[in-house]
Amino acid sequence: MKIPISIKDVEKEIENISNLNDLQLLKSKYLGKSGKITSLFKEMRNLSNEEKKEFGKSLNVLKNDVEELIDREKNRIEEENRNMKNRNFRDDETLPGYYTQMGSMHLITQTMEEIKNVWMNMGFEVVTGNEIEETYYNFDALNTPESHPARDEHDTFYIDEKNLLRTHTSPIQARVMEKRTPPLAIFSPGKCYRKDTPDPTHLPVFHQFEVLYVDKFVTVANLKACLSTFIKKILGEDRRIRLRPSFFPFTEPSFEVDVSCGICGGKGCRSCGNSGWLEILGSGMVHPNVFKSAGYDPNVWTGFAVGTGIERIVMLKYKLDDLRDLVRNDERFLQTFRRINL
Amino acid sequence: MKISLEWLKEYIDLKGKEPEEISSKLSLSGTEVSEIIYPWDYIDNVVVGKIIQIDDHPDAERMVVCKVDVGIGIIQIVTADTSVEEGDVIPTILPGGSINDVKMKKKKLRGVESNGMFISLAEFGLEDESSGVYRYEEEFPIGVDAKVTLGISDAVLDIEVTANRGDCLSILGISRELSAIYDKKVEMKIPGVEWGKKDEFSIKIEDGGCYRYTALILENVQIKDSPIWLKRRLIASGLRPINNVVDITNYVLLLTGHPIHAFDLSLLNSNEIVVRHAKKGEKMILLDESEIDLTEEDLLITNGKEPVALAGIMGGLNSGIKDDTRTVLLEVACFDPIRVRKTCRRLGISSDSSYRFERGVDTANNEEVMSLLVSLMNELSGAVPRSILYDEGKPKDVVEVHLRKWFVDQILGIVVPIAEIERILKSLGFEIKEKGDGWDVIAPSYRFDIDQEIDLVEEIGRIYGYDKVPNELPRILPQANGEPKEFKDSFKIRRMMNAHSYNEIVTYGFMNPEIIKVIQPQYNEQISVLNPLSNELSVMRPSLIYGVLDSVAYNFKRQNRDVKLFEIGHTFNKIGSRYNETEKLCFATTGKINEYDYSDKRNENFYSIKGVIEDIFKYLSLEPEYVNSNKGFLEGRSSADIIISDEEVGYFGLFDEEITKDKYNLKNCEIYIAELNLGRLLNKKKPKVIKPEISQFPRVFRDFSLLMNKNLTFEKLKQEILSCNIKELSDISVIDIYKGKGISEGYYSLTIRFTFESMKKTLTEKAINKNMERIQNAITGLDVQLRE
Ligand SMILES: [Zn+2]
Repeated sequence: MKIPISIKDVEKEIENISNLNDLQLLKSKYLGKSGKITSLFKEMRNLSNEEKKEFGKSLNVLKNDVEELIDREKNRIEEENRNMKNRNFRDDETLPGYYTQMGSMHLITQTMEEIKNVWMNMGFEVVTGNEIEETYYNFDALNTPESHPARDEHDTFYIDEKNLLRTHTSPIQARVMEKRTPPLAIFSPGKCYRKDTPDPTHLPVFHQFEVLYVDKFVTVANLKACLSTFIKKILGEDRRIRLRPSFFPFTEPSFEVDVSCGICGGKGCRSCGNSGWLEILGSGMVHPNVFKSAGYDPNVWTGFAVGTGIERIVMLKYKLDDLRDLVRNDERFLQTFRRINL
Repeated sequence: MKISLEWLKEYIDLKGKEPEEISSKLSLSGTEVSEIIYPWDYIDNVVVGKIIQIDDHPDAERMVVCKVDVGIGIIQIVTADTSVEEGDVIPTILPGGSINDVKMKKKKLRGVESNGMFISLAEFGLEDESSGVYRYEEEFPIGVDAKVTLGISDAVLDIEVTANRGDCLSILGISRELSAIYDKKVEMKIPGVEWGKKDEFSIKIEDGGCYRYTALILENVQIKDSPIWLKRRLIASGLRPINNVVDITNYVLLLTGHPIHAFDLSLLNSNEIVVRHAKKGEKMILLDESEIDLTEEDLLITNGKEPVALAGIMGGLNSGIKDDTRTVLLEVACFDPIRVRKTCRRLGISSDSSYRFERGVDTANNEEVMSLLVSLMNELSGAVPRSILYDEGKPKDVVEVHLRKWFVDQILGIVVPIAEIERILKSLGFEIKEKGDGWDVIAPSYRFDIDQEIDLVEEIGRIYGYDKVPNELPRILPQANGEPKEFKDSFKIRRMMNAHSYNEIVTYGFMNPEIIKVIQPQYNEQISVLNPLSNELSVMRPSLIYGVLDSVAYNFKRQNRDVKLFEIGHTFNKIGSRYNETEKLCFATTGKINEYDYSDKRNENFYSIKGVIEDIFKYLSLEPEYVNSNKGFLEGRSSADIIISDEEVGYFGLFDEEITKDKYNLKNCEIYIAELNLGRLLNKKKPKVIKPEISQFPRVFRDFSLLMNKNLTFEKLKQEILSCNIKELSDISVIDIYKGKGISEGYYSLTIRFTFESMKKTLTEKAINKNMERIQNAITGLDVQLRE
């Protein structure tokens, strides 16, 4: 007996099918309980044993082929449906997505944190203090008695006869020295105040960090190395420093520290006033009188101190031209400096 | 201070050294040059020209036409100065040159071509008024730079001298510095002069604030203009020439750094000078006609009866030099820097003289200074000394310091050759004598900044050059403390605020007291700044809300309607007489909860800001209570205080809408604000307990809709349920709230999700139902119904 169905017939029918429903109908038409192929199996019992064997074999092949064909078609339709579904969902892939935007840390905080990490990696510990400070710790303990002209230059805000708004974070160091014995390596960050009218390069409230290292046999060479490490880590490996002798009452010798201009690399350009250098911080070897105020023997202990305004570093690092932007707190400005790698 | 190189070169050889190089050398040795100035650069391209022919102007009687040899050729100039003669040699601006930004172009004056311009002394600023163009009396080659012939071509260095180096505030002082830098001698000759014979006067010092007072009377003074060489040096130094006597005192001040005062003897009305402190209630009128009230701290120069000068600061009105002065009393004195400084500060005045006295003036050079004065007075005004030299008081004692060689090397971190140390110290004027492990060193009388060994190390270092010092990292033992916990934690809180989309701001620590009166009227422990920049910045902030609100307003007014800002900083209050500082966290928001999700239309509200607070407390492992707040500046219906063991640690809620509208001028702006006492919270922060109790068996959720009485709180409901102590109940959370249609008055619908889980087994339906029954029983006492 010949099988009255060929796989070609099924293939032809499948070509016209485009959905799973129709495919299901086709499946029952051939393979269902009373489907065409199922019926043929039933007719087999009328055949002789010889015929049965051959017919059964061919019928099985057909059945497998049809099943495979339908399966394949099913997968194809499902895949197509999935794609259709996705396309319907994002009808315009250029529309913006939904998200929650991370906030930003203030440039002062970001920069302070970076600076702090550099000094901490060199072995310094962090110490903080109050913004309202006793005049004694702000000046006298730092070799700046009332008669000292340098005291005028600070343009101090006073709270009463004995208290003021600290003009630098050095009083923190004076307090630590009073309480502890050397060696010391401290980093003190914080808000400071000086009586400056706000303009592009001055703010009456600013942030400072200061560093104090006290040990035996501390040298200017040690200071230079720490400063150089600090500058390279914060502003870039290609930056160089130079020490320019200056005067601070609490250090001797004292230095202004210049960093090579990042724009011209030290050749001289407009932004560095053609000098190739930019003033970045103050430093020096701790004055023996400061040690005496703290009760340390200046014949035994030596040390260096470093300090500067964070705003000045922020200005250099981010090429800002108006410090007042830092306290206007416009969200557009704040978000410009959003970083997450702190 | 302005230092003229032309003047400097008289005392030190600077041949072949460019101003830029000199500046850089000075800066790197501690005398900062802030600017290189050319005071006469407003006149450009001016040379020595010679008139070789003069013709009448065809159309103008008051002009003549000159042919002028300017070296590179002959140019034609029409001038209005008809007194010029053939052969006159005159400073001439060439075509292409300029004066005060006016360029010399070919032009016609009344129809005749004129290609340059003759210059008068007034145009150089060397004369108040010139009657005509300047004609050289000396011989100069035609065509050379006229500024060179007048000594005004050189650069002027604007120098910033540090507070400890008063000795550098003079030509002589800078010469000494350059002498050490370039290893060259300072060539300064003090002229030999003879004092007068007459002993006609007396000096009394009655106050130790005057160290030394030297005086001399000169007669036959003729007041007139100073010569060009003197005027140009004053102008280059930033001073205006007045007359020969005043100019000489200024000149010697600039040259030596020693302030000088000149009195008209006839106006002094006495023959004595008494230096004393002022009496209580005494007054005087200064040179600038201002009347000042004096105190006993002020040091006065008197004629024995009344003040004639405020010592070291400014002369009195009535005894100064006049046009008809014939007899002069010259004062070369030394005063206590602190006394001068205190008076100047109190009166808010400063002068070239006080500026130097405040920083220290040499007490050993009075005679030399007087010699310079006498010789110049004689040369320029014909004056001769009449009196003997009066000299009261004495120079200060010299300072002697022992310097150890190894100490120099140890501080600098480099071995400095002995010969270099000796050369540097000597060239800076120190006297040295070898002794023991180093030298005994005597500081020159003009160095007030030297009083111990380290000061000498600084001198050696700055001249030897710090560029020669190598970089050598110290071996610092890492400090045990590292970073204080609070410091680290407040940084983490900043990160959390960032994660909640808040942007950090920084504001001033002081603020306007007026706004405190509006927002916290009961607050009365204000800490004021005694000398504020302005009333707007005059009290220390008691809270961070002020700065944060200002910043929200700033953004809102710039059309930014969705704002999220926070600040962490110190706030200030007074406890008794003590000042107390607390670190706080304040944040505020307005507009959408999520600006960057346009499918989310929700605006910020009480619960959205509370969520941020709860997240922070979760991080701190603290469980605060929230109670209704009655802060005046918050809207009562949506605000709460945050309490931990009976202590208020913060608050949050909707900011008073009236104040937002009226005081901040923000319309339709709902600001939710919170402030937490971060300092307290970080102290309370408990160590986190890590409890990995996660069941291996499935959790079962049961959602329950309840009709709640409005007066019943979620917290109360929760407590009742927790009181059943159901072990498997691991969480109670809110999943929906509904108010409105279909809900009876005074009630709202709350959907709660109960989570059950057991560490030991899979919970059966039966067990859960039993627990739910217990929960239902527990809340039957409350005004709450189960909703289907
Ligand atoms: Zn540059």
